Amino acid sequence: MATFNFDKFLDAVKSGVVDVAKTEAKDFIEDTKADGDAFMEEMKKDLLVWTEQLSDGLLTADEFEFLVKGKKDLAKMEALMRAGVGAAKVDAVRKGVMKVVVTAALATL
Amino acid sequence: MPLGPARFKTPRQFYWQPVSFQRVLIGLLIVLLAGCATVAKKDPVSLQNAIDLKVESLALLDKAIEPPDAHSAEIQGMQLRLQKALEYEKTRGELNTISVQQWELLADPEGNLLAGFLKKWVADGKGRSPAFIDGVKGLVTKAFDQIIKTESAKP
Repeated sequence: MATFNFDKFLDAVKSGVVDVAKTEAKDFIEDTKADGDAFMEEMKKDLLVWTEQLSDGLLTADEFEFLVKGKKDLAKMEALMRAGVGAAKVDAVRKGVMKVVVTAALATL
Repeated sequence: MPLGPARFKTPRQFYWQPVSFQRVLIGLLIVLLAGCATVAKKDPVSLQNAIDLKVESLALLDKAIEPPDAHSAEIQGMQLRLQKALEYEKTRGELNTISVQQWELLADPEGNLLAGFLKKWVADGKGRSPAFIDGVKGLVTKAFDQIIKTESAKP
């Protein structure tokens, strides 16, 4: 029976997993931060515009309240979107790790 | 008589081939990694539903400057299509929970996004101001964009 070098296999997996995590996690963290910043910036801008429109009589108090509550719903959707994109990244990492394990196992045999 | 790979000449040889613990461990690791999906797969129908409804709903919102009576059929049609899209998402299994929650927010008549606006338009029975319509269009556009982004990110 062919001998299997388990230490060599583990080294190959460790190095491959680090590469997968670096690629996938780095992009995710950068994208999430950029999305979060853009969302907060847009929220500030919208609230400022709506407040001015309310004081100018272009929006009623009822309409203003609807829009502000809508922004709250949108924040929930944004959080869900980030969770969804995060779950997809976790899935990509899982597939990447699986590929690394299979490749390392075949290379070590 | 048990079957084995061709290289095993007799059943006895097949039974006595030792399998190392490490190989079993690697096999288990691969099986576990292969069976742990964290998210539903991308669905072209879902993506198309979101794109179609985004375009249609923004066109309908432009008409909200007029009283709702003239657009009753369009409003009811939009409410129905929103419910259909939500029901479709629910059929996609447990891994699609995040998308379902997003569609629920958009299609909730008690909420403050698309279905909430349609309900308010009908209940108030009057045309809305351009400023209000612009604000709602911004919210609805973003809401659909988030649904589309979530779906597009799926594997």
